[in-house]
Order: sequence, then C-alpha cells, then structure tokens
Amino acid sequence: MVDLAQISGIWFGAALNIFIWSLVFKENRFYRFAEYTFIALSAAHFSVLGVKSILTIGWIPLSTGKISYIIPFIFGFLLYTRFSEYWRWLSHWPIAILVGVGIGLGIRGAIDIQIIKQIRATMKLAVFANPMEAFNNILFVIMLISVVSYFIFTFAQEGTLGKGYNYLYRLGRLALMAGFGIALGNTVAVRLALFTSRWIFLIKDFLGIG
Amino acid sequence: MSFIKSKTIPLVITVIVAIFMLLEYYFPVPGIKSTAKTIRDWAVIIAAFALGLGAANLLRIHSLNIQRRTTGIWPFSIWLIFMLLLFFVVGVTLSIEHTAYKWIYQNGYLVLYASVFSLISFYVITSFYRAMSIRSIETSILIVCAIFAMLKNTPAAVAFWPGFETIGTWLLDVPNASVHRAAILTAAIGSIALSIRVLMGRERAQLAE
Amino acid sequence: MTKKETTLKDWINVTVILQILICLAVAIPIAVPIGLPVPITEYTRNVYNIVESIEPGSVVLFTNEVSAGGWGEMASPTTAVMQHLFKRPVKIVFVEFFEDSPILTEMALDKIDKGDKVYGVDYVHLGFVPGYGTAVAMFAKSVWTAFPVDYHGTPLEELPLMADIEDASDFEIQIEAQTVPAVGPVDMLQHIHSPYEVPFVVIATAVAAPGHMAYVESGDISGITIGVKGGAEYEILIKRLGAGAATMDAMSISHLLLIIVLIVGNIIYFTKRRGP
Repeated sequence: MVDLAQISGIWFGAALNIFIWSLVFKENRFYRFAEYTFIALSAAHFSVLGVKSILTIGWIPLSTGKISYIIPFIFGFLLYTRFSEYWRWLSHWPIAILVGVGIGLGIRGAIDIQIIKQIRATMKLAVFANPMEAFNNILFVIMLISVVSYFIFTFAQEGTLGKGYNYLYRLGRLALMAGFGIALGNTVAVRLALFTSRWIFLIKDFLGIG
Repeated sequence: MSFIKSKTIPLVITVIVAIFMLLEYYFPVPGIKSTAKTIRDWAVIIAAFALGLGAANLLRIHSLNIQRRTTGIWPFSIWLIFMLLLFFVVGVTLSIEHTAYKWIYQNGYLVLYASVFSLISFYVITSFYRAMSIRSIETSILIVCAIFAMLKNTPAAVAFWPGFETIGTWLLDVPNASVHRAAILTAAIGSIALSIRVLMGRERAQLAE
Repeated sequence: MTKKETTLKDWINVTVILQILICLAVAIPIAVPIGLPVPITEYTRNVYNIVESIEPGSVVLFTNEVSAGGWGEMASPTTAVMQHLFKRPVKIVFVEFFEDSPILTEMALDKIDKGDKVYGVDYVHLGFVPGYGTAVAMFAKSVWTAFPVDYHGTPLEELPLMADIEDASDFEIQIEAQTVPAVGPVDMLQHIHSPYEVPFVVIATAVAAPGHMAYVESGDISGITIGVKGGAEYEILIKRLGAGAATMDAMSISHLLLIIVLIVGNIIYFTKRRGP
C-alpha cells in the first residue's frame, strides 16, 4: 500500500524546497510563502519545546511539593510583561537572573578552559621530538603572539619599539588571513554538503532516480 | 515606585546571582553550593519560559499587520499565524512524538531550514568567480589557504595525491589552530571585561527598552 | 510606461551559467554515481579507535546540538558514530541542549541497527533541556534535576540504566555532535570535561572544525570528525555505507568545479588588468 503520509510529505517538502530556491531568480510570492512558513514553524517549535520543558523541569518538582519552584514560574511569566509598555520594567528582573547566571558561569569557565589551559598548552610547545615538530611549534607560537598583538589597540605604536610592534602587527594580519582562508574552504564544504543533501532529496526521494 | 521601576534592582540581582555562581566554583562551601544550584535550576526554568517569547512577538506583530492590512504582507501574516498556531497546538496537545508533529517537522521545518542554508551555494560559485581575486599578499594567502582546505575536503583529490591531505591537515593543525587559540584567548579576555562592565552597571544593553 | 519583456538573452549571463554548472556538478553524480575513492583521514580513524577502545560496560554520554538546517551535513557522521556505539558493549545516554535536536536524535535512532540493546537498560534518550550553557552546568551537577523524566515521559526511577548516574562524573566519555554556535564544545569543556575530567570527542560541522582545533591541540578535545566527509569515512570504517558515502561523488566534483572557477576568475581578472 502506498504510504500517503510519506508521499504527501515528499511533495510538500519538494515544493517548499523549490520555493526557497526560487529566490535565486528574484524575490517572489512563493519564496515569501516558504519564508513565512519557516518563521512560523521555527517559533512554534521553540514554544512547544518551552512548554514541554516547563512541565518537566518546573511543574514536576512543583507538583511534588517543592513550593520554592513557584518563584521561577513567576519570573518566567514576568518575561512577557515586555509586551506591555507600562509593565515592561518587570521583565528586566528575570533577564537579570539569566544574565547573572550567564556571566558567573561564563567567567569561571573562560578563565579555566579558554585562558589557563590554552596558555598551558602553548607553553608545552617548548618540548619537541624532531626538527619538523620544532618548526611547527615555533611557527605556532610566532603566529599566536602576532595575532594576539593584532588585537591590542590600547597603546600608540611609536618609536623603535613601535616599529618592531608594527612588523608583528602586520604578521598578525597575514596569519589571520591564513586562518580566514582555511575557514572559507571549510565553509564551502558545509554549504555544498547541505546543497547536496537537498539534491539527494529532490532526485532520489522526489523524482525516484538513482 | 520610581526606584522599583529603575534599573538598579535588575543590576543588583545580576551582581548577586553572578557572585553566587563564582563563589560556588572558587569557595565550594555547602551553603553557597546549594544556593547557587537553586538559582541555576530556576534560571533554566526561566529560560524555558523565554522560548515562547519569539512566538508571542510574532503573533503581536503579524496581528497588527492583519489589522492594518499592510500592503503585500497581510495575507502572509494570516498564513504565518495559522501555521504557528497549528504547529503549536499539535505539539502541545498531541506531543512532539506524534506522527503529525514529526510530519510537519521533517517535511516542513527541516526542509525549509536546510533549503535556506543550502541557498548560499548558488552565491558561493558566483562570488568565487567575481570576488575572489588575488589583489594583495593578504588575499593571496587567503585564497591559497582556501584552495588547500577545499582540496583536503575533496576525497577524489586526496585519492589522486595524498599530499593534499597532508598539507590541508598541517594548515588545520598549525596555522589555523594557532590563529584560533589567539582568537580564543582574546575573546575570553574580552568577554570577561564585558562581564565586569555589566556587573559594574556600565553596560546595560540587556536592560534596553 | 510599458513593461520591458524579459527575453532568454537577458537571462543567460555568467551568473546563471555558473549557477546551472554547480547544480549539474551536484545533481549528475547523485543520479549517476561514479564511485570515486574516499581515503580515510587520521582524524576520523582516531575517533573510531577511541570509540573502539571504550571499556565494556561503560556509560557514554552522547550530546546532540545539531540544528535541523545542519542535519543534511551532520546526519551521516552522527548516525555512523551512534551505530558504532550500538555495536559496542557500552551503555549510551542521549541528551540535547538545542531545541531542534531531540527529534533528530530520534530520527537517527530509527535508522540504526540497535542489535540486542534494550531501551532503559542499555540506552536512554533523556531529551532536551533549555538554557544552553546554564543547562549544561545544571545537567553536569545533577542529571536527575535536569531530567525528572526521559524524552518519552518515563520517570528516571523506572529506567535501570539511570540508577547509577547522578552527575557528569558517572560518564566514561562524552561524544558531542554540534552545528549551532549557541551551545557547543566550549560549554561542554567548561562544565563537563574540565570539572569532571570526562574525555571529550566532537563530531563537528566543517565550518566549526577550524575553531575547535586549538582545543584538539591542547588535548581538551580527544578526537574530532569533520563534516559529511568525516561521516562518509566513518561509514566505511564501520562497514555500513549510508548518507555520507552517497554524497561523496557530488562533493568531489562540486569542490573541483569551485576551484576551477576560482582559478579561471583570477586569470580573467589578471588578463583584464594587464589589458589596454
């Protein structure tokens, strides 16, 4: 028996896919239809997950007697006061909790993982087993220092020291370009992989070829 | 009333909450640990409430579009609200494991999301033809590195000459890792500086009207 | 004012030709597969070896932060690594910290051969918890607080696998599939790997991989597979070809086309610049 849900899904999906790609020719109503559908589905999906999460991590403990969980519920509802001009100031309180937690967790994590461990790993580069590794390690450290110095804007680059700094600054820019180039090459891979996956859907699932 | 409405109270909340998160890590005594854990658990519930903000805002804006009959947009606004409510009602009443929800997710949401992302491929090829010209040392380094990164990602090229894999891997492991470590270090310092500014009340973007 | 008719000549220009070429470079190898070779990279082989060497009976934490838009690229490596885990005598706990991901995990679970593994005993899908980095920290501290019930609504008390799991230290290793910048390896390193010393492996999208290489160099990330190519290589290693292998011909030809277009574009640029 033909699976009607599957077939209708493929036709619906193929139509939406082609509507989105129609933007390549020009902005049109089909594209806008697909665009609005995407926004609607995205917002609805996030809301559904929100409701499901409130029920599991909020309502279950509250219903089992943890009365203190009423507080995050009140703060959660306060978020929606931002749509009222008069009560908007109340929405800043739950946002303050989210920002405070984010800052606290962010600072402690950044110091450990992004600063201390990264510096420690760089210092370990002083140890090497062969000339090739030595070359790589030296290049690594030079590029690292030059890129970090590229991001320092707090003092004027003048005098003899400033001249030396300018060379480092220039090297930093070249190193960044190498990094951007590698990132570009990899970005292309992602876009082509997604493009290919859509073509597989259109050719194999929709047209039934291959 | 003006004090309650002021931005001082949110700022004090932010500072107290952030301090508890930091104290929990550096001075993990039981009282602080349990308070920090409670605040974090609450924050996750508040974050769950925040997931509906986007939908609420969309409903508000597009209802206005329909009300004002905004030229060229209002019929799409009707469609948007219809789809939003439909998907939401299906998800909440039938659950996200229901066949109907999965059908809309797989054949609508996933397809649209992937199609939007893949659309860029059409522009990548034209930009490679028109914009990627070697005009300076900087652009030549960028383009050469991009070519080798792409060759590394081309299985047929690597099978033809394994050297492409070696060069691509070296680029990824040495120059790229070095540049990204520098970016990680500077971004971490920047984010800590920004956090301190927020805690001092110098940065108030999160409390913008 | 009369409306100008669009003729065929108006449509045919370099832009359109290039766009047709990229479509053909992808579509033809899909319709008529060529079977170009796919060599295995060290990155992928390393991840395979790590999964292969996980102690029997250990509990693996599999976190999925792939967006629906990125699933086209990530379906192959994520499914392949999951399939490998199901072949090994280990227990698996699936968790998501991004909204799109729980259904994607279910889609992958539907596709793989689960062997004799039993839900609740050998593997569990806990589902999604909101809050990104904050949620990761909450989960790491207390798994049961983050998930009073699993994805299907079953209380954790009824799942034998969860009886011995309290916090992140109860996991032998964490494997993470990620595409979104909102939550990812940095959060996992900050809140799970570093405080609880859980080895960490990443299934990365190709665009994010360069950003993770500093952590690979520092040893914080033990292994990384990169993009759909990594997925295709992994499928070859576990001898179960799937979505990744099917895309490799198209990926090879489209990449080569882009490189040719880049070179031709530069030749034309230099020719024009040197011209009169």
